[in-house]
Amino acid sequence: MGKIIGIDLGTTNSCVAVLDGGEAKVIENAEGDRTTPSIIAYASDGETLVGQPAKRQAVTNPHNTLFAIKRLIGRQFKDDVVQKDIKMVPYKIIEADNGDAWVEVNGEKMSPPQIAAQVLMKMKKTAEDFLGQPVTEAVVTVPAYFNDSQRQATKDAGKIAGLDVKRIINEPTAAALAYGMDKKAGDSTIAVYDLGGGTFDISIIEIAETDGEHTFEVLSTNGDTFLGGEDFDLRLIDYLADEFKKESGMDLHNDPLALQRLKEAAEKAKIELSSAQSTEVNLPYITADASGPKHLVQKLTRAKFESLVEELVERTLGPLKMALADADLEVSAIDDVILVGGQTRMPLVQKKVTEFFGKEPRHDVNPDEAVAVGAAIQAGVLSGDVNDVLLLDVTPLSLGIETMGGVASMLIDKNTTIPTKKTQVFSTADDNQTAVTIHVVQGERKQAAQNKSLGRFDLSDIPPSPRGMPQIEVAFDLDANGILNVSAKDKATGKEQSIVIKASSGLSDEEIEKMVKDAEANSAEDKKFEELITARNTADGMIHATKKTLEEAGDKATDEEKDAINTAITELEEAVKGDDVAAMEAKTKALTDASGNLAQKMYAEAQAAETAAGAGAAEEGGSAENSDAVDAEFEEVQEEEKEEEK
Amino acid sequence: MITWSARLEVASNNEDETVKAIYEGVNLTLKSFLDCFTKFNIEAVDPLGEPFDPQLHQAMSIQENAECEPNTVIAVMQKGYTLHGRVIRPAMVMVSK
Repeated sequence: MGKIIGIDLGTTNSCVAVLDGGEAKVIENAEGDRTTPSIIAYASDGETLVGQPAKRQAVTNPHNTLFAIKRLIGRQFKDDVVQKDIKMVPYKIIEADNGDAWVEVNGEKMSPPQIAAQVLMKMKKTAEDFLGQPVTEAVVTVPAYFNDSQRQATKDAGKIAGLDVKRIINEPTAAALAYGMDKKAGDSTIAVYDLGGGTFDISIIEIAETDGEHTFEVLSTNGDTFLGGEDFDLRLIDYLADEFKKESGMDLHNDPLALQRLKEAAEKAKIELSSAQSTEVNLPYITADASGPKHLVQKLTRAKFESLVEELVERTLGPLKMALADADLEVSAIDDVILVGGQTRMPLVQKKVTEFFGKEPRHDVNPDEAVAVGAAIQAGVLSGDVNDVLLLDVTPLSLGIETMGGVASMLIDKNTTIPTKKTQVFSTADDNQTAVTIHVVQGERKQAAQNKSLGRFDLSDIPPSPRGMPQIEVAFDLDANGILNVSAKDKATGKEQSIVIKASSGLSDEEIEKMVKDAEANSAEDKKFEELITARNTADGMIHATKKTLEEAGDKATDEEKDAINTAITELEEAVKGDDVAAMEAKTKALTDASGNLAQKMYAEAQAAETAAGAGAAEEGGSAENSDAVDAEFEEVQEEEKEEEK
Repeated sequence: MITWSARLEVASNNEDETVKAIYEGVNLTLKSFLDCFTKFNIEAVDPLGEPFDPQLHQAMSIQENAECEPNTVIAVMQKGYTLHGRVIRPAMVMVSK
């Protein structure tokens, strides 16, 4: 059985981890980074870029570079968050036929799961490269406040990426697992303070222990989806640019290169100030004017930086209070506070959190990776690699039906551990009513219309009788995968109706199936494309190298050899223009063979020259300069030889 | 180290006669740096005129340019570097539109 990987699918960055020999290990991607920007770009030549490369080309392709897709996933177009997002992103958010928020790229409509799948595919590939075996199963984390359709949409994204998402778990739960919170005996209540790159989340979790099994319940969550570490950087950049303007009168905001350098330097300074009391931002040649180059040298103390961003840190305290109030808890009821997200490395953040909770927060797990590590541990539990943890999932929102007067009557309360089954008997509201509509809703509101409608069906042919007489038994059966089966049975006639509700992400199974196929087809195409590029590059390299050899050592070749080489070059050049990989490879081989003789000759001569130069008896006088030149030539020939061997 | 060499490069772009000696010194220092890079398989990425490749380049800005094809690097603001073929710093470039 293959490994199950743990993926932290973040708004700004994503991270993948796997359990390796009992330890969760974060895997580096192809670029050598432990986290991957959650950015996807669709280039004009049809290529899809994910992560760092997508980020780098963003300026050239703003309309087709998608970021923060997590804010859209599983949401309706009319949703407030989506409407706010539309004003902030350069790409086009549109309303799909079913009312969902979709994105338009190159004139093509795409669903958020389809786009998020690209990130998941990259994470999958990262894991596969590391493990050396295919990966088909994953645990993916989502924010605790995600509703059913957002969770289902995340699952769909996994499916499109070729991953069977075994479990969706809450990010704070994953973080708590990474901190080993499940190892403690007895019940405890913890607060997870997650200040990431672009979002802030606070969650209050209750861990209950029964017979050594731990259940994690998210009591409440709160946060700010538009506050994160990037805002801290921005404050610092603005400050440095302002100071520079005061000194030199030049505004760095107008110079993209200077701004980019400043951005990098600001981030570095921010990180340094987490451990040092002061640092120096040193950017020579940051810009230039008529009087010559300008340098930016600025001393920065931790106190100064803290004064710049204190307001941002204060802003996290509001949601903290709200979350506690929602969970109906006093600050003193919190047993542990854990920190997640890179920005929590900042001493000021730690200090404020300590002040607020009256206890030291824990930050001994890398805050950028805690969530992915927790997901990997959960994956280990599912695959049987970890035995000492039992994690039970809970439903995040209450489930019930609409009853008289549009009231939502809940059958399954939120935070009930799943799988679970509940039945309740209802009756009719009118005399001689022969049919009832079972309208299944999800949410915490009392009014059914305010909650999310999951589906409805009718139970008819109820024998006419006074209101309140018929007994209709409604059963809710929620399985471990969050799939809800609702049935209604008229106890008098035994007639039964039921509906299976797979929390829908707004995508039908057929649509998902199609996207899965598209993704597979594209991966085949991508591979072809990669092969083509490789072949073309090899061919180009060979042409260039041979031409150079001919130029430098053409006099050593016979005319026949030269002709053969030139013909081979022309043919290869022709092949490179086309798209035929096989032809390119064949012609490359032909050219390699043709130039082989010449290279050998050169090699032999170079060796002779080397010996001559060494003896100091060469005509040139064997000066240092000359022997240098021979040396260089000698090495070049060797390179040729190596290329041939390939 | 890459940062230093890039700064030296900017510094060595000076044509002023009075500082010629210093200029030469800076240039030699730069050269020793570059030699050292080669030894450790660090290669500079200087893609002027090449098609823009986000695997190696970071687009800083775009500019209308009638002379060359769209998506071509028309200016290299800062060279990039690769170590054993892996990008350690992308080249910062201006791309044509």
